[in-house]
Amino acid sequence: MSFFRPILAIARKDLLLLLRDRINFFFTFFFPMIIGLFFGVIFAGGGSLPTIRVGVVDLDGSPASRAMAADLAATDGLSVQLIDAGGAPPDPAAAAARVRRGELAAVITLPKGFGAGMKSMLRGRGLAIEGVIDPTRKAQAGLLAGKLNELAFRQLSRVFEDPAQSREMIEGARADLRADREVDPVTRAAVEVLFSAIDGLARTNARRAGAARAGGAGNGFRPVEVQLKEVAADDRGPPHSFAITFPQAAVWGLLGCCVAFAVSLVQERSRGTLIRLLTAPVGRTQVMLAKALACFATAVTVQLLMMAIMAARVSPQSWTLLAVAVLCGAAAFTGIMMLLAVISKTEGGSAGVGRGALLLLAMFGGGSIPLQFMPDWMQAASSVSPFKWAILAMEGAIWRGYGASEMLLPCGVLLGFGAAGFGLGARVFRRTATSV
Amino acid sequence: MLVLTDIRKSFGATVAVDGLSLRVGRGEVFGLLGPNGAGKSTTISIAIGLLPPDSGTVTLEGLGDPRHAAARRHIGVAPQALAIYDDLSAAENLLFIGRMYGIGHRALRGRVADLLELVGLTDRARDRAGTFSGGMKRRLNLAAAIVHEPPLVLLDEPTAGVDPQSRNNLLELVRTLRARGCTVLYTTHYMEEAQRLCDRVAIIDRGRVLAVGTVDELIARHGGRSVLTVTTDSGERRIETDDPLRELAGLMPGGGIANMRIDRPDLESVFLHLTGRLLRD
Repeated sequence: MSFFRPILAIARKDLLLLLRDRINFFFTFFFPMIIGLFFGVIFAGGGSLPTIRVGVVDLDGSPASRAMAADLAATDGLSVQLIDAGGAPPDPAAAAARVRRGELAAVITLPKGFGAGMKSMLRGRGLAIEGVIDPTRKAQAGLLAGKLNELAFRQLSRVFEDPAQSREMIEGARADLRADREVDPVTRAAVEVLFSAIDGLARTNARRAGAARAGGAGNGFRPVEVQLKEVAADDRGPPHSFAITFPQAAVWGLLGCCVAFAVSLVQERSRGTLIRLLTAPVGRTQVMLAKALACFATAVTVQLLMMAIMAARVSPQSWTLLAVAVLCGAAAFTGIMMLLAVISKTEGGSAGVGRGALLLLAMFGGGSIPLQFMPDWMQAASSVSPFKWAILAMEGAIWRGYGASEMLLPCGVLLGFGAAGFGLGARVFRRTATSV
Repeated sequence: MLVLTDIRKSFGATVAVDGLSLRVGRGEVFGLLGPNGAGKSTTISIAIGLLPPDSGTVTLEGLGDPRHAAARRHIGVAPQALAIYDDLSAAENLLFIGRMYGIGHRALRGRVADLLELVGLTDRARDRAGTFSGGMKRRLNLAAAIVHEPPLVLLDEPTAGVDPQSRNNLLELVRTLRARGCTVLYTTHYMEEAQRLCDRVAIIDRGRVLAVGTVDELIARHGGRSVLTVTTDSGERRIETDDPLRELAGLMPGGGIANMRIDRPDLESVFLHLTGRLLRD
């Protein structure tokens, strides 16, 4: 009889048993798929911040405050609700209570005199905007303050674009200056000149703004113009969240596969079927190789399945290197499976120790939190985890732009894990798999 | 067929087999009778080459060393644990075992069908073994041991934990194997099974063979006397005798016998006489 025939028969039987074991099948194939899709979809937005729900209380009701509220409503990232008290003046305190209840992230109040303040800006009385924000949203508070400053500048630019408003603002400021007896003549003359210059500039701006509007262009006066474009840090960044989450999903599949086959070998021993195999004209080496073959085939299959799903969104930079990474990962976890199978003599013990130890290594190795988000010390410590190297090898082929020489380290480490695990496991298995 | 000579095996400080020797003749059903922990399963493991003895030899006449795969091809084993896969059907279990022995696909199909018929599982051939009763699993376990038609079959407590009807079925299967010319080494701690089934029996305790022979020989040598119990108007009398019928005939003329019972010695008595303990202790 051929040396390989019983190996194939045992491996085929083990694969059939895996397919019929719903729990192990779920944790080997479906659970990783869910992990990959769930986190992949969550992070698919490229890290954009969620919308901030903001209430606006307009106590002024002036054209300027209404324009400010409209600009806020048109701002990306804000979901603005104008607080309306049904004809009565809106109550800022009632609006703040909605923040306390978590219905709104923040409330912005445009107080009475907001519009007038716009026109008295050159007289030292600036715009007043009040607000309350949920203290758990500190990062969004900064963003909101920045948006409010930007929009206040926009209101100011509108004043300068409107000849009547700008003239009213400058004349008001001139009147205040002339009425102030404490200002010395030289300073007064200099400020008068400045006002004249601003007036001239405002007229020019108003003309330009009118011409631009007629020509379909944007606003004429902008104190600051900021344009931000999204540019990738370099061309080696992950092209899609799936490029991160599906290598992670694949290692969760390896974990499930590894535990399932380790437990199956323990079951063979505890249920007596190992005796049946060993009394057949089949050597221990063949039994071990068959188990390893079934585990290896499953490990390759689960990784390929994850990569196939990922490929719907991400095309790996090198299919060849990805295939190498997949084979090395499968070899590593086949060896680890052999080691797990001899750690405990009971199915519960093997499953418990296997899941516990591998879960810890998976979390440490980037199975839960991507490696690049870990602190430096944890990244260094994660080198003891085969999951790290399996992820690194896959990512190397998918988006890190690894060449063959760069793949040597992760693949070499994986093969080392596999050889050590298989060697040690096989040695113990040979010694212990003997009694009826 | 199978010869074990002065086998010794220890696990740490525990001596499992202590100088055990026995010879199983071709075509006989040989019983290893002893209580749990007597060393029966260890002896089986050594006999099939799974466990190396600390000392002593195992010889399979005409088959070679059981540690070699070629010799094991001629041995069938039904371990005490149910060595079947619960998630495979009865037919799949037998097909898988048959493949382990390199039996060709067509021949294997026919043989599996015959075996399922033999053990009364044809109707459940496609059902998973996990859904079977204990007795059905035991029958499948036995069928798996003989799928490659071995001349030597070792059955380790094949009726453990089954109901009386299934036990009778299994004993009938063993008789069928004997009728087909198989040599059977049968371990049990049920003396009734050994008495009903075995051509010869070895009484084993604490890893040592205490006595070997046919059931009648063992009883004659070590069973002690029969006990005649008679109940008369004056009360119950218990008489130990070699010939209870003659003793009874002697009592008849006096009359007044309301009830009588004869307890002949059995293998339980043999074990009690040899060890001072009952098999069930």
